[in-house]
Amino acid sequence: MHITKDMDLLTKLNILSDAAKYDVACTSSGVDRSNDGKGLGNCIAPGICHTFSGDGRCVSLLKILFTNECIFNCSYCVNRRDNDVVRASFTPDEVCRITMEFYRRNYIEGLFLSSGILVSPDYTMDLIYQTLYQLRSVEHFQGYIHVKAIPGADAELIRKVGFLADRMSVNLELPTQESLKALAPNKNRRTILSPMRQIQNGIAANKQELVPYYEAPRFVPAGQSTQMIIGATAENDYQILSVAEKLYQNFALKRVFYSAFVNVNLDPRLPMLPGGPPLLREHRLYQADFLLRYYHFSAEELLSESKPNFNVLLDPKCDWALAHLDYYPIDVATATYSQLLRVPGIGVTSAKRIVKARRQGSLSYSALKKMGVVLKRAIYFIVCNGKQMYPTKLEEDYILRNLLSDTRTPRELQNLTYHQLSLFDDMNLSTMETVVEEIKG
Amino acid sequence: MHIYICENTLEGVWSAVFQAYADRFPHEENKIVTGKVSNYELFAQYHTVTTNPQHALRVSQRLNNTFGYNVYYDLCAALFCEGKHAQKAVNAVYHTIVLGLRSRHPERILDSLTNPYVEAVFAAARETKREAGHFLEFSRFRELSNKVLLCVIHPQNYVMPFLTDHFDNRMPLESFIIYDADRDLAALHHPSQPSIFIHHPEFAQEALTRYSEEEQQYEELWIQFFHSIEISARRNPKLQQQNIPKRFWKDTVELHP
Repeated sequence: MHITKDMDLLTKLNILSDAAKYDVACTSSGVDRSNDGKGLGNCIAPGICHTFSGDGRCVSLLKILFTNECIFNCSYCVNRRDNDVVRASFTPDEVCRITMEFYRRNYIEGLFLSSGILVSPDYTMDLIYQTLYQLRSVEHFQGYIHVKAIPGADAELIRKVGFLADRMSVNLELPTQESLKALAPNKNRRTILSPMRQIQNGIAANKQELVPYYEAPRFVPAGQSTQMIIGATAENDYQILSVAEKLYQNFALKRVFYSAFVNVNLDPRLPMLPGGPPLLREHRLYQADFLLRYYHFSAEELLSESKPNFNVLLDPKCDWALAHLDYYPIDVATATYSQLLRVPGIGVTSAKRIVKARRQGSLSYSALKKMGVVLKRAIYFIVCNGKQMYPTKLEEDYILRNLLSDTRTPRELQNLTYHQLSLFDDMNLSTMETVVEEIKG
Repeated sequence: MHIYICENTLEGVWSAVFQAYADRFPHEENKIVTGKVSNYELFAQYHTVTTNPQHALRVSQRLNNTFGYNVYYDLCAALFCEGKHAQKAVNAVYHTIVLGLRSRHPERILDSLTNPYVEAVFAAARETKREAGHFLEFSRFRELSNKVLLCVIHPQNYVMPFLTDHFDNRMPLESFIIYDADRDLAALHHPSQPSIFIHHPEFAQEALTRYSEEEQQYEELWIQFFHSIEISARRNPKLQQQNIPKRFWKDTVELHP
């Protein structure tokens, strides 16, 4: 292991932000807090993304590890004990200084602080606590703070940190106990789920306190989130989505994040992904996740044991709609809010607008379009004033054909389109080669 | 048909609304336009409205009381629009007010999106608010040698009130200047005071380029962070450009061409 003590800030930031980049959560949402006039910063409930990096992901928080030294040896992690990478650690002073200076230049919305496990979980959690305490009480920082609860850390430390942070998260990493055992030998379900339960109970108890005592300190006001790695182990989409649903129901999580697996360690226990990380799969999981949280869907409706994975060509909502054509057509003038949500092309915003607007006057297709309804997807499933926009058939094949011709093929599948056949094209079809060899032989 | 020509400011438009109500012509036949009229209409009477702050104040108070803050906020946002939807916005705001004052629930008037006037107000307000939102995200402050923070922006719409609202609350103890370079308008903020707007400010240009010693260092740190946070296996410049359109790049530090 390579440890350098005297490193300048630029090098440290480089190492420790590079080490933190595989953590997905970078949201600054969920809490509204005005500045009290005595410090720097406020929070806005929808959150603010300050820039977008070259991979198109938003940069909202200063996402860094406190240290990338780690006593754990999780096979998927770039900072695991066995890896020979340059190690660095911040001091609480440095973290505070960068956060404050970045914040007042409007680079960031707050701090995302995670850490490798230095010495022990308790020791690391205490370092994080000291940093946050300094930031909140000495520097009077009132912006957003997202912090990781270290699995296995003492409950009292987690409680103290919870009163300083806006959001906390414990990474579930892998959806099942078996995968966790195989890939992250130092972690187990119990050490991950017990802080999660503690935070959940803390938030619930704090809500009760806030009713009688308005000035009571708020415990993790923006709720907690977690993250799962997609594509490192053999779980199917149905398993992953069911786990996510259970987390929302039983642990009252605000968000579950999915992270397409990037094989950074070239570990033999992990799959090689020649086509790059499974981004399309991750995308479909996020779409389904939104269906769970905002569209009144359940995991069993979208997937099942017999159909365990998502359709790559269609988003989960269109896919569901095509399988349940008996549910349609829906009259936008009379349908309930949750019925409207099930129409492809109508989202939460436009459904709310429809519900409000139809109280004031009758709807038309042009008005629907202006409200943000995507008519090219919705027309097959709705009627307005008792009429279809133009005659369409309520048949699965017909709608599927039209939907596919209207929507852009996902980036990952664009190479799968039709080609003019040429005698010398390889097309990467391995079976062709064997046929040719047979002919030669 | 009566057409009221007014100044293209909030006060100008509210004065014209006041005038239109004072004249008691049927509202359906009235129209409010701003600035110079390029093409006169037949059979129409033109009235030029001089901006009257007292009238404007009365109108804005009435709107605030009857419609509530949220609707008033959106009406203002629609008037601040100077882009694609600006042309219809002023007249649409006037007719939305007329509709609202006649309806039983004026506070819900902006929900009647099936009405073309309300729809025009909605579209214009959305355009302004969307851009203002982008500038809350993508504008950057630079520290001058006297510790004052300077932010230069080039917005299409008049978004300054939204920015000062946001940053006054966010950084009450800082001194900062937000400068709208296209409109030559500056907002100055002194610690613990609301921002003041100055049209055509006379800054010493040389002072505005004299950055503090640490400024360079923090910009370097930020650019370093911006590059190291990217996952190269997921590289997707198209998505990046979709999320932060190129016209904002010149006002940022990390993507500045």
